[in-house]
Amino acid sequence: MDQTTKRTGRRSRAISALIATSVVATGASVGTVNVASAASACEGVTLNVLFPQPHQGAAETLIADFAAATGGTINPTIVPYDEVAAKATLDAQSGANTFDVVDTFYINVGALAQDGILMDLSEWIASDADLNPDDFIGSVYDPYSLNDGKRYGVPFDGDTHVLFYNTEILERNGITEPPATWDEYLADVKTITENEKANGIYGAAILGQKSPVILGSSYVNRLAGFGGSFLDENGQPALDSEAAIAAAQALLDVAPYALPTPQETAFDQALPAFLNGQVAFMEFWTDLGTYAEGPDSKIQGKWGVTSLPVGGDNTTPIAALNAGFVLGVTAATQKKDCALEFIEYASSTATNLKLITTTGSGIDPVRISSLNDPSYAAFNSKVQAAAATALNGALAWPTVPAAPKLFQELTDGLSALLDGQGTPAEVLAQVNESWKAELGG
Amino acid sequence: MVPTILVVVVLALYPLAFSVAAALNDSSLGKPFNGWVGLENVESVLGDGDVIGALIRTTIYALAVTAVSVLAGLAIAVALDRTTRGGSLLRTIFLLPLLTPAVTVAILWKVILSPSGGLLSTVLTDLGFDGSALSPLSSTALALPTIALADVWEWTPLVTILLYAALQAVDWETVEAATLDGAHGRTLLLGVILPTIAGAIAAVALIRLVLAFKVFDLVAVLTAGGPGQSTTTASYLIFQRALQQFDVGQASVITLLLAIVVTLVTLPFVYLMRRAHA
Amino acid sequence: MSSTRMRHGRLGPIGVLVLAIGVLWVLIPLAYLLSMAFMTRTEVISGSYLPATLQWENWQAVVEAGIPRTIGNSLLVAVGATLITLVLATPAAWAIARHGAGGKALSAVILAPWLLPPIVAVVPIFVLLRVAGLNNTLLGITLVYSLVNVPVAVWLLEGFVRRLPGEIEEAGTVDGAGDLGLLLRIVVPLIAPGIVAVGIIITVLSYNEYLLASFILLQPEVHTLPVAISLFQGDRFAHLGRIAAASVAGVLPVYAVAVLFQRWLVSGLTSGGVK
Repeated sequence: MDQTTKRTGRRSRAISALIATSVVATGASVGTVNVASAASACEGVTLNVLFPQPHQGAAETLIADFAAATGGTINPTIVPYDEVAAKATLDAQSGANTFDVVDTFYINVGALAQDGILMDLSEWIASDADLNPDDFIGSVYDPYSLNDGKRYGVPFDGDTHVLFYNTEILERNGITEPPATWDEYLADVKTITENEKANGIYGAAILGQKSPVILGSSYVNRLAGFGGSFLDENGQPALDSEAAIAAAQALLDVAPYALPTPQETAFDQALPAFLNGQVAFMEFWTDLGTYAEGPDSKIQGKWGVTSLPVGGDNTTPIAALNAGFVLGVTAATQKKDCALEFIEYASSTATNLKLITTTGSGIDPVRISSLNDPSYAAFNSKVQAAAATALNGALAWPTVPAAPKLFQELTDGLSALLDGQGTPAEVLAQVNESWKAELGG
Repeated sequence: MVPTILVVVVLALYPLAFSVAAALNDSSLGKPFNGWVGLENVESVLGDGDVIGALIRTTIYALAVTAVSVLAGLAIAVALDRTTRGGSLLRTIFLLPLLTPAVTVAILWKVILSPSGGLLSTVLTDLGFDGSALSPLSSTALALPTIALADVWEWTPLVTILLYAALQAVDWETVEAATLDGAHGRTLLLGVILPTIAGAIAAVALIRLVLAFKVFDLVAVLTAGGPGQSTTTASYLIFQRALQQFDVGQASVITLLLAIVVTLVTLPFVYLMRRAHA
Repeated sequence: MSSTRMRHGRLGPIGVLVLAIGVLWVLIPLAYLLSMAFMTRTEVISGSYLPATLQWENWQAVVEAGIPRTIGNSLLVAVGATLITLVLATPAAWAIARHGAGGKALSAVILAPWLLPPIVAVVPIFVLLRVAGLNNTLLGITLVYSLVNVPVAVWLLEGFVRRLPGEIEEAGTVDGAGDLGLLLRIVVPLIAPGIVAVGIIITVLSYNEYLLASFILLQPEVHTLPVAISLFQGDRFAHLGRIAAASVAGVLPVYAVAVLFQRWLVSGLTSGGVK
C-alpha cells in the first residue's frame, strides 16, 4: 500500500512541543509506564473514551497508569465489541458529542471517516516527534490507520489469529508435529474426531456463527494461508480466485469433523471447550495463551501454538488480521490536545508492552519492539513466536467505507456454503459479484 | 386524551417522517440526509432477494407463533380459570418466562439446544441416542421453528394473563343463564364463554402478532440470522443494515415495507375486534 | 352476585393435562437456568445436570459487577414508565371506547407507532433526548418507555372498557359525577384486573427492553439489567454460569412484584368493586 501521508513540516502546535520537552524515558520496565510526566495537556482534564468490551481489562490498566503519568482522567464507556462504531456515530450525529477518543474495529475506520466522525490525524502523525510510527508493525499500521490517503488513528490492538493445539490430544493420536498445511490439519482433525468423538472430544472447534468477526475470521485464516486476497492489484474483488475458492473448500471440508456444530459455535462455546480439553485445534487470537495458563484452564502446560497453516502454492505463513483495534480522535472533540496525548500514550511501545504482558488485557502487539521484547517472549514464549509471523506479511480486511457491508455479504455467503447451498466456486462467484456492485457503485 | 394524542403524534409522526426522509436520501448512520436520491433506495431494496425473503419469512413466522401462543395461552387461561386450589401458585408459575430478560431466554435456549454438551443432547445421550447428531440451530429447516419455540415459551404467558383477566371479567349471570338453558362443558365454553371474550382474544392475538413480527433478541443470540439466511427476520435485517452497515436509507425502506406488511396482516384482527365489540 | 371468586366451569381431565404440560414446559428450562447459576464455566458446556459443588463465586461476581444496581435501575425505570403510561392511556382508552372519541379508526392509528421495530427510530429518539439533555439518564429512558408503551396500553385497555355494561356509567352520571369522577370512582375500579394485567405486561416489556436501553444508557451507573447481561455475554470468554446467576437475580424482584399484583388481578373484580 502506498503511503500518501503528507509531511507538511508544520509542527502540530502545543502537543508535540509539550511532549518533546517532557519525555523523560520510556521506562520500558513492566510497571507504571511513563511517557509524559511534566506539564501535560491532560492535567485536570477528563477524557471520554469509548472502549469495546474485550478491552475492559486494558482500559482499567490504562486509566490508572495514564492518571499517574499525566494527571488526566479517563472516563471509559464500555460497549459490546460490534457496537462501538454505531455508538460513536449516533453520539456525533445527534450532536451529543460525548466521546473524545474511540477504540474501534479497524474495518469500520473507512465508514467512520466518511461520516466525519473521526478526525484526520495525518498531519499530527507526520509531525509528532514521539509517536515513532516506524515502530508500528508494518503489516498492521497501514490497514489500521490509512483510508483514502489519510490517517485516522493509531493501532492499539494488533489482532491476528494463530493456531492453538492441545498437546495431550495430539500425542494420544500419534500426531507429533502440529500441521504446517491446511491439508495436514484436516487429516489430523479427522483422525482425532474419529478416534475420540465418543468421549466428546473433537479435532477442532470452528468458529462459524454467522457474524463477520466470527465466521469471517475463520475464512480469512484460510484465505491468508492459501495466499489469496480480497482485492486484486486494481482494487477489484478477487474472491473468485483459485486461492479464495480453495480456502472456502478447506473450511467446508473440516466442518463435519469440528465440535458440533460450526454454525452455532461462537466464543461462548469454543473457548470453554478448548480450555476444558475437549478440542484439539482452535484458531484464535494470540491472547488465548494467557487464558490457557489461567485459573479457569484445565490445559495448563498442555497446549502449543503455531502460525496458521498454509495451502495451495503458498508456503509462507501469512497472518490474518482478524478484528484489530484503532484509537481515533473524534472530529468534534473539545479536548484535542489531551486526546492526542492519550492515543500517543496508549499506542506507545512501553504501554503496548505492558498490556501484552498483562493477563486478560485483551491486547496483542502493535509495535515491532514490543513484539520482540524479551519480556513478552518470557511472558508467553509460545505465542510470541507464532505472532511474529505477522512481521512477514499479513492479510488485512478491506477498510473502504463499504467494508462492513462487504463483510456481511461474504459472511452470508459463507454461512450459505456451510449450510450446503452451492459449491465454494458458486457461492464465492456470487459474493464477488455483489462486491463488484458495491465497490463500483 | 389530549396528552395521549400529542404523544402519538410525536411518536408516530416524527420517526415516520424521519424514516421517509432517510429512505429518499443517501443516508448513512452519521449523515442521514446526504443528498436526495429519490426512489433509488426503494428500487435497490425491492430488487434485493434477501429483503423480500426476510419479509415473507417474518410474516409466516409471526402468524405461526401467534397461532400457537394464542391456542396454548387460551387453553392455560381457561384451565387456570377453573382451578379451585393452587391457582395463585400456578398463575405465578405461568408468568415466569415473561419475567425473564429476552437476552437470558436466548442464552438459556442456546445452552439447552447445543449439540455439544447441551441439556437436550445430554438427555438424549443418556437415553442411548446420539445427542450430538441433533443440532436444530444449524439446520435450515429447523432453525426458525426452534427460535419460534423459544418465542412461544417467552411470550405465551402474556396471552395467558390477558385472557385470564378477560375470563375473570365475564359476566357470571350470562353463564348461569346459559347453564340453566342446558349448556355445559364444551358447549358452554365454545358457545357462551369464548364468544364473550372474542374481542379480547383478537386484541391479544394482535399484540402477540406484533411482538412476533419484531423478534430480534432471540435471533441475535441464537443464530445471528443463520444458517444461510434461514433465520434472518425483518428486524434483524434492519438492525444489520442500520447499525452494522450504517445504511440508514435502506434500513428505513425495509422498515416502511415492514410497516405495510404488518398493517395488512393485522387488519383482519382489528376488524374482528371491532365486530366482537359491536 | 356471590362474593367468592367465580369460575366458569369445572376443571376436567383435559384441563389438568394442559396445566401439567404447561408447568413442565415452563419450569424445566427455568430449573436448568437455576442450576446453571451455580455451575463452573466448563460444567455449563459439558452437559451437567447439576453443579458438582455450588459455585457461590458466580453470585459474588454478579454482585461485584454491579448487577444489583442494574436491577434497581431496571425496576425504577419499568415501574415509573408503567405508571406514566397508565395515567396517559386509561383516560384515552375510556374516551375512545365510550365516547367514540376520534372515530373508529383512532385506536388502530394509536397502535401504529408500536407496530414497527424501533431500530431506525433510535436515530431520531437519540436526537430528541440529546436536545432535552436526557441522554444517559434513567429519567430519559423512563420517558421513552412510557411513551413507547402508550399505544399498546390504550389498545388493550380499550377492550376492557368496552366490556363494561354501559348502564353502570349511566347510573354514575345520574348521580352527578363529572367525567373525572366517573373515570376514577367507577371505571377504574371496574376494570382494575385489566389495568393490573396491562400494567404487568408493560412493566415487563420495559424491564426486559434491550435495544433502546443499550443506545441511550452508556454509563455503568445507569445500565439496566439487559444491558449488563449483554455485556457479560459479549465477553469473548463469557461465563455462562454468571450470566445465569445475574438473570436469576434479575427475575426474583419482578417475580415478587408479580406475585403481589396477580392477587389484585383476581380480587379487583370479584369482590364486587362496583361501589
